[in-house]
Amino acid sequence: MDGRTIALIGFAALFFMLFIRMPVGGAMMLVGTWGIWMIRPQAALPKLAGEIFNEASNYPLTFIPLFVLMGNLAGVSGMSRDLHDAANAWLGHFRGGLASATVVGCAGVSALSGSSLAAALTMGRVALPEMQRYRYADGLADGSVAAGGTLGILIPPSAGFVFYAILTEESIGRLFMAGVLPGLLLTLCFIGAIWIVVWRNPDAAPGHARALPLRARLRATGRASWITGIILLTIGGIYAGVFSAVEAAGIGVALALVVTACRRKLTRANLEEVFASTLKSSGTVFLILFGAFVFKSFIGFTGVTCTLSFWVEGLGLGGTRVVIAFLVLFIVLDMFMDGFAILVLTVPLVQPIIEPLGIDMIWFGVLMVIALEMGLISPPVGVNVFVVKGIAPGVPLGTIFRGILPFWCAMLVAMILVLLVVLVPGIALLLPNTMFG
Amino acid sequence: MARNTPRLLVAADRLIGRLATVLAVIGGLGIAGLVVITLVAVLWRYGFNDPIFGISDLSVATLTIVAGAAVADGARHGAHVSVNLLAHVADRRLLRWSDAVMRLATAAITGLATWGLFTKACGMEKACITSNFSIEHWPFYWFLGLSLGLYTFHVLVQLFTWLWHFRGADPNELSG
Repeated sequence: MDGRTIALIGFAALFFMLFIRMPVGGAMMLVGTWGIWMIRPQAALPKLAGEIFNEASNYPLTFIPLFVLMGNLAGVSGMSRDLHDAANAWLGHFRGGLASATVVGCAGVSALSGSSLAAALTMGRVALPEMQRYRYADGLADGSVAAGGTLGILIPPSAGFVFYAILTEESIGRLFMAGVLPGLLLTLCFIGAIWIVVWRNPDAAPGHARALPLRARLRATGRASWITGIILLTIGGIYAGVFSAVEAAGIGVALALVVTACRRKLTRANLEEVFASTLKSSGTVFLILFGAFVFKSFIGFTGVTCTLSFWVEGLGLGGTRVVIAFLVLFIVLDMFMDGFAILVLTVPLVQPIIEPLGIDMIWFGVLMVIALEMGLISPPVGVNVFVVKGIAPGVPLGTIFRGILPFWCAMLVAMILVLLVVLVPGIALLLPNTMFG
Repeated sequence: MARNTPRLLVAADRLIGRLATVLAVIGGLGIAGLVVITLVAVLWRYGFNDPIFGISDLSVATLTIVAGAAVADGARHGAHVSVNLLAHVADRRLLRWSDAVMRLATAAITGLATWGLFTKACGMEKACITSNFSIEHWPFYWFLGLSLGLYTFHVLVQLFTWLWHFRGADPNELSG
């Protein structure tokens, strides 16, 4: 059997394993090991053990438990709530302002945790009761939380970028910086979507908070200065080249611990909860990475990437067209698969095709992450939607998905904007280029 | 566990729970260790302008322990990501069968990985050592093997429980 046939059977087997609900990491490990065994039997077991060890001892991955821990500490210390309150103080009195404040709060939490789930969960608990109090339409309220949460994998520190960086061997720092401006752009697009929804249907946000006096707003902003300070120090430190991503994470955790202690929230129960949650999230990431690298080795052994690369070259398509085709494919896959699964499954195939076409892998990474963000709110498997459903069990799933549609469109707009600026390199590449040259 | 589950399976499940708790404690301490190591490295590098030689070796060793403990803990708490599309199209009966196949496949690969990590672990004789302190790799291979072994054990117990409750309700049934 030649490499291409084995690759084809491997992909079919992988989809079957994923379809029967096998954990993504396990499925990739199984198919990857089988594939390597088919091509080079003596390499299968050493490769399986070696890749597991290599990823478990991959220094840049120290970032994962540290940033997850920082995000969890921000939750128990009340810093995430402070951020929502500050955004609310400035935006809450506008029509649809509570939803906008939720999105801004999600953007802030995203800058601390790197997890879309954490952002949606933390902000959902704080913001949904508030929006219900002001009789916001369920679709708008739940949609803004679910969509706002997706910013977690675009705004640095982002677990999505770490996965992408490790798979493509790009710099984590460059990718983080590349995510900042598109993250802010997407936040604005979400606020624009809220504004359009409320403008078309004022009943979607009939009530709004009263405008607070300047002193109260400043007080709320002051309370949020802890979290904004930590964000500025960590992200600013990476941007200025003072810290590596791992060092920034370590400093961020230390500061978050200090704030938690100062607020008398450093109780045994909280610590147990925070560490248990961090360990669980880290385990999820590591198993996927173990599988992804065994599978990546298998793909390498088959030589199928060369075949695909020559085939695409033979079609005579330009780089941008190929990128658009892949983005459409990701958006379709979003409806069936988890974003991280798509990422680890497709990157080993996509990279050898688009890199020779002169595509900047950092720029493509940003586009890919936006496409995967869409998957977090796409029916029927959008994870964030189920997170919001868990917080607001009374709201039908259909209502939440309908409420999400404007935000999904906003993501599409943001993606198109990032795509278009390839003509005037800006949004995605401005910060990494000014930082690293 | 349901009341009519055999004592052996209940005891096995309890043992896995205890071992997972021990690994979780080790993992938690490992995370705390990572924070301390990273902070010390930053402080000495930027505060005292005197980078500590080889501290990244300690980070890497600690990270390996955290990763192993985290994977086992994630397995015990059902944290590993899977694509739950089948639940939208299949009935409960089919799901029970597909879950059994899934568990068998999971146990097979995690078991193979356990075997691989124990048998392919190497140390000084093959230069499997860290770059600064020459810490041998084999204990970390074994720790990862132990973690994946626990994962295998956990899945096998679930599989046998499924078999025992074949005509009744499976206490480990995954939510649709």
